[in-house]
Amino acid sequence: MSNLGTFCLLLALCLSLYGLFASLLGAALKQHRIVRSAERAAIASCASILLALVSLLYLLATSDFSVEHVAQSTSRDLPLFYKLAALWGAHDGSMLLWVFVTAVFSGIVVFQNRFRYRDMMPYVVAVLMFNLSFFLILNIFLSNPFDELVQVLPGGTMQKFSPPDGRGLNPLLQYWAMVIHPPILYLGFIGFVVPFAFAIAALITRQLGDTWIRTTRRWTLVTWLFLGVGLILGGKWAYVELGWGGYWGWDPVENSSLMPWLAGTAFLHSVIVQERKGMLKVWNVLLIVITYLLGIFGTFITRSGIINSVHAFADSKLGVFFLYYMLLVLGASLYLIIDRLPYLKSERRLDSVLSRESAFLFNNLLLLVACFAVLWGTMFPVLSNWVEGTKITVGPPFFNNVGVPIGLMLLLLTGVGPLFAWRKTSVESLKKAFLWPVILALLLCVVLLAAGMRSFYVLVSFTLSMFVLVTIVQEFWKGTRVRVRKTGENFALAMVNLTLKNKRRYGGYIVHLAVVLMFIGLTGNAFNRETSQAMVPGDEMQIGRYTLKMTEYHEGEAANYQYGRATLEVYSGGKLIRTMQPEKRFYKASEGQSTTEVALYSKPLEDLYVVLAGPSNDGKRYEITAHVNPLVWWVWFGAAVMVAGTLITLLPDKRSSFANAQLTIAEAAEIEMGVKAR
Amino acid sequence: MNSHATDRRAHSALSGLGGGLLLLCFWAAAAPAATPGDISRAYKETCDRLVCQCGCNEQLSVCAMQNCSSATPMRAEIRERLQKGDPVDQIVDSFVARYGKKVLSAPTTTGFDLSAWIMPFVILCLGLVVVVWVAVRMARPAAEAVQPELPPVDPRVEEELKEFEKEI
Repeated sequence: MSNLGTFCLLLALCLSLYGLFASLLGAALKQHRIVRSAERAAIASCASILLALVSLLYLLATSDFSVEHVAQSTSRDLPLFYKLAALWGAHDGSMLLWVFVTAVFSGIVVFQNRFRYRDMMPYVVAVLMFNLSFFLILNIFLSNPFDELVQVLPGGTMQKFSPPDGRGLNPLLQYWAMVIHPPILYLGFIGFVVPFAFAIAALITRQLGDTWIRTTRRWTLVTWLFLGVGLILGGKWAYVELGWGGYWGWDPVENSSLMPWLAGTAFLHSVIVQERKGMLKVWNVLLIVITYLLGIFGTFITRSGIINSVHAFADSKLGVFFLYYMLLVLGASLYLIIDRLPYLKSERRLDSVLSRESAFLFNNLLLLVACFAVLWGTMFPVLSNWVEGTKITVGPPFFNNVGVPIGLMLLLLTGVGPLFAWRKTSVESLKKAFLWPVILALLLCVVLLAAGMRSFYVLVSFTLSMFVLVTIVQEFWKGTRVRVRKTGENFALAMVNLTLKNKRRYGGYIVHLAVVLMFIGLTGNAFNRETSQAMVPGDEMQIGRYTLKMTEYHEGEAANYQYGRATLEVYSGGKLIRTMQPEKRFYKASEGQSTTEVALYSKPLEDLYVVLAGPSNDGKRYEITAHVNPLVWWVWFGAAVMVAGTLITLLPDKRSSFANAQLTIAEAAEIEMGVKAR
Repeated sequence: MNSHATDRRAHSALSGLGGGLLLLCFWAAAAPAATPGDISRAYKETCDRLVCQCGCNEQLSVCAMQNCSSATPMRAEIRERLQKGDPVDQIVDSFVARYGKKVLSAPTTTGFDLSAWIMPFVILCLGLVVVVWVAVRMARPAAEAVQPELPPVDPRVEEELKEFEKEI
C-alpha cells in the first residue's frame, strides 16, 4: 500500500509537470487541443493524489506501523477518528494534505472554466501546476509520508521494521476543533493560489481589466472565510485545551496564519475600488502576490524550523526550498508587473480626498501595516540573532503594545469608511452621517469615565465600538426606511429584502458588525482575573462573584489515557449554580504526556474557566486555577456573525451568475476593452 | 404614518443595541475589584514579562506543563521574592542576568531592540506619505489607459493583407 501511495504521487508529479509544459506550449502554438490535454492532466493529477491520500488513510486506519508516519503519529488504542486525523498530525502527512487541497482547487478551477477565459486559462493552469509540482517534489523526495521504517542489523545490513505499537498522536491534537482546524486553515492558505494564478495570467495576456477580479471574487472570499474560521478554531482549541486561560498567544505559527488573512482582507477591500472605479490596478495585482506569498511564508515558518514554536514541524532541510520558491515567484511577479505597467493605469481619477476611494486607501495602509507589524515581530528574533548573535523572544507584550493602536485605528476606519460616498462627500452629508454615532459614542465614553474606568485603550475601544455599531445600525435603518416607504413591507421583511437585494454591501456591514463584536470580546481581556489554590475535597476558593467548593477528586482510565478529575460546586450569592469538572489526562502511548481539559462556564458577560493543574508538590492536594474572563463569549459570537455576513455576500445573484455563466470570450474582451457603462 | 412607525422602530432598535453595548461596557468597567485570593498584580506582571526556559517559548504565565523543570522553580522564586518585597524590575533583572535577554518576553527599548518597537510606526508614517502622494497623483487627470493588445492576427490573414496592399 505504501508503494502504491508513492507511485500515485510520482504519477501526479508527472501529470502536473506535463500540465505545466503542455499548457504553455498550447498557448504558444495556439493549439487548443494541447491546452485541453494539459487541463485533463491537471484533473488526472488530482485523482492520482486522491488515491495516494486514500492509501495513507488506509495505512493509518489499519495501524500499519511499518510506515514511519503511521508509527510516529498513531497507536493501536487511538480511536479511529483520531487515527484518520493523524494524517496531518506529522509533517509529511500534512504536506500530503496540502498537495491534495492544491490539486482539488486546481481541478475545480479547470472544470469551472472549461468554456470560459480560454485565452487566460493556459497560463492559469501553468501557474497552478507549477505550484502543485513544487509541493509534490517536496512531498515525494524530502518529506514522503509513505517512507517505511528500517533497522540496521549487526552486520550492517538494513531491513524493514514494524514496531508492535506506534508513538501515538500528540495528545494536544486529540480535540475536535484541532481535528478540523488544520484542514480548514489549509483551505484558507492554499485558496489564494487561484486569484494569484488568474492575476499572473491576466498580466501575461495583458487582460488587466476587472475580469480576473470578478472571476476570482468568490474564490478569494471563500478562501478568506476558511482562513478566518481556521484562525478562530485554533483560538478555541488553545482556549479549552492548553489551559492558560487565553485564546491567542502570538505564537509564530499563529502569526503566520494571521498575516495572509490581513493581506487578504486588504485585497478584498481594494478590489472593490477597481471594480467600481477602474483604479488601484497595480496595487491589486501586487496585493494578491503578497497574499499568496504570505501563505507560502506561513508554510516556510511552520516547516523550516527557523522560528521556535510549539506548532512548528521543524524540518530545516525544507526551508531553503521554500525560500528559493518564494524568491522565484516574487521576482517573476515583479518583473511581470513592471513590464505591464502601461496596461495597469487607472481609468479614473480621484475626485476628492473625502471619498470612499480614499477610505479604502487608508484601510489598505492600516491592514498592511498591521501585517508588517506581525511579520516584523515574528521575524525579529531571527534578525536579532543575525545582528547581535542573541535570539531574543518577541511575545505578547510586543504584539499587544504595537497591535492595539493599529487595531483601534482600523476599528475607527470600519465605522468611518462606509459613511463616505464614492467620488466626493460633502461636509454637510458627513455632519449628518456622523451626528448620532459621535453623540452615542461620546455618551458611552462619559459614562465609562464616570464609572471609574481609566484604562485609555479600553475606553477608546469601547467608544469606537459604539461609534461603529451606530454607523452600521444607521446604514441598515436608512436603507430599510426607504424600502418600507417604497414597498410598504413591514420593517423586518424590508430589512431582510434590503440585505438580499444588495448582498455585498449589507453582507459587508454584517461582517463589520462582527468586527465590533470581536473587539468588545478582545477588550474584555483587560479585566481578566485569575487565582490558584492547592485544594482537597471540602476546600473552598473565591474568585470574583464565585465560590468554588471542591467536593471530589476521582481517578480513572479511558481507552488511551488515564485521568484525574476534580469536581467543584460553583456558588454565586450563596446559591449553587453549576458543577464543574476540570480534568488532567495522561496519555499512555505518548510517554505519559498530559493535557488539561478545562471546565468552562461561558456566558455573554463572562467565562468562569477552571483548570486542574495536577497534584501539588507534596502530592496530597490538587492545584486548581480559576480564571474569570469577561466578554470572551463575544469573540466566538462575533466569529459566527462574521461567517454569516460572509455567506450572505457569497449568496448567488441570479442575474449576475447567469450572466457570468454565459460570458463569452467576445463579451469578456469587450469588458477588458473598457466598454463599460459606469 | 408608516414612516413614523418605521422611525420609531428603528430608533428603538438603535437605542436597544446602543443601550445593550453601553450596559455591557458599564458592567465590564464596574466588575468587582480583585479578591484576596487573586494572584497579585505584581506576580502576574512578572510572569508575563518572562519566558519559560523549558523550550516551549511561552511566557511564564502561559506555560501549562505540569511540574515544568523551568517554569515551576522560576514561579516559586518570583513568589518568594515578591513576598520579601523585592520590586518587579529587580526580579526581572536578576533573571536577565542569569539567562540573558532571551528570558524576556519582549525586546528591550535599547540598542538594536529599539528598532523592533519603532519600525511598525515608521512604516505607518512612510505608508501615510505614500498614500497621500498616491492620492494627489491620482487626483490629477488620468493618462489615457493603454488599450489591451488585440490578439495577433493569423499569418494567413497577414499575407492576404500584404497582397491587398501590394495590389493597391
